[in-house]
Amino acid sequence: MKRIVLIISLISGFLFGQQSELKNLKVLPYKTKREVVKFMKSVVAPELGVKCSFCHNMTDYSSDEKDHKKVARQMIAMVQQSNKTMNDLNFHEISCWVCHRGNEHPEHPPKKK
Amino acid sequence: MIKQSVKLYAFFIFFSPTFLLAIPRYALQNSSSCILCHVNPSGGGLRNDYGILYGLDNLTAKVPQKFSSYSGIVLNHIQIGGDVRIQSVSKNKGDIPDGLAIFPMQANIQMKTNVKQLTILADLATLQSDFGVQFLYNLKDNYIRVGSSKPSFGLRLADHTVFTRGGNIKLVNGNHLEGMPFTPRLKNAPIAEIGRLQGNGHLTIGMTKGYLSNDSETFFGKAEHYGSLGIMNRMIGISYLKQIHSKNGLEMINLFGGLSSGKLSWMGEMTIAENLVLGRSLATYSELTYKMKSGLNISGRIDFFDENISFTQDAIRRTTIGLNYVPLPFLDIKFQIRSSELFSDVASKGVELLTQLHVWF
Repeated sequence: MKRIVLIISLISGFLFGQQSELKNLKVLPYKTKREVVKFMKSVVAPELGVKCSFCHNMTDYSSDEKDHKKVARQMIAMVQQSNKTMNDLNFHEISCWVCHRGNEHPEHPPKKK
Repeated sequence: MIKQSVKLYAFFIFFSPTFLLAIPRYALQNSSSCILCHVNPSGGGLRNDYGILYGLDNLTAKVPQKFSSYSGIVLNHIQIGGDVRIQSVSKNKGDIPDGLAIFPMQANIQMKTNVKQLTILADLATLQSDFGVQFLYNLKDNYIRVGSSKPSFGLRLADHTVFTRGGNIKLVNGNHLEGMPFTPRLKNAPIAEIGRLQGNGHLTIGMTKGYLSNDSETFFGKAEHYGSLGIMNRMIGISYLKQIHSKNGLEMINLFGGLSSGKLSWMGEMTIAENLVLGRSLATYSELTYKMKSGLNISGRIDFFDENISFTQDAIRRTTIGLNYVPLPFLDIKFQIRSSELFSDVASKGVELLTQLHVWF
């Protein structure tokens, strides 16, 4: 009986396993979780020098509970907007690194006027 | 004999459905707690989205296209997963083969669903006929875990034969015990736990009833911290467990840590137990792993157990050299050669050749 349950679960997991839907994705242009994770691991985390827990509730990555995530979303939207301008000017695209340089907060904020 | 063994092995691979343990080396290499990849904050068992993707993108030699979008989701809101581990042990006394044993170590099925901030995680350990359900309530960086499960203690290594886990179930040194009490026979027990994830730290405390022995109440706690020192990742932690309301109750303290840089990782832990048998017992574990290429790791390990530190004859030291190959997603093959040095007058156990097949989904 145990083996039957296991085999059925195994087969159903593989055969009927669905592409999980992306939840609460508002500014990133990606279609799959794999693309989102790849972007976060290769761009956001190293360029800010942070781990996932800096922005995410680790038990629910899609949750907006943490303020850092809300700020990060606005920052990503800002970079996207900037890149539209950069493209129009035929300049290279920018990313978080331009200001953050591997730090949670940019080291040299502009001087207050 | 060999043909029979191969057939038996194949039979177990396909028809034998285990206990869930994490692989802390991955946590160390990511400089993050087990919760990065597992639904259970204590680690082990069902992987979350990140864990599945990490397995696909970072652990395997090759990812076939049809597996690349695997999520484990079967009915929109339900995720199914499982772990099957089968082990073979072949012994030699000198140059003489001295038997082959093949046995399933683990055959678990897990299921998870979320209702707002509540995660319900069910786990069926078919070999132990044990069913556990946990309710995990998440609030920002804090969580409450209640239900039927196992407490978090130490590194929770994936190999239960390590002395800091369960050690030798079949005793070889004439001791009362040859390893700490975390054998795969332990069943889930009623548990209540609170935890907090703060930055790179993870703190958890809780109570469980009837876990290590019937009717005993056990308090446990664990604190761990992950971080980076330049190009090196590090982890450090401490665990404590005590049976309360019982005379001469078991009391254990564990220290663990690890360093990882590039392709090289080291992990170690030490557990001191009072009243495990009589007096103070000690178990240590140390393992160095080198990643040769994606999906292929080589490791060397020394683990040690002393049933009572006042005497020397009850100690065992085991040296292991291993190869870990992950040819495809969801398939993990381990080869190990190990030798035990017994400090008693008992004849040496000789060299053992172990093979472990781990299928997960």
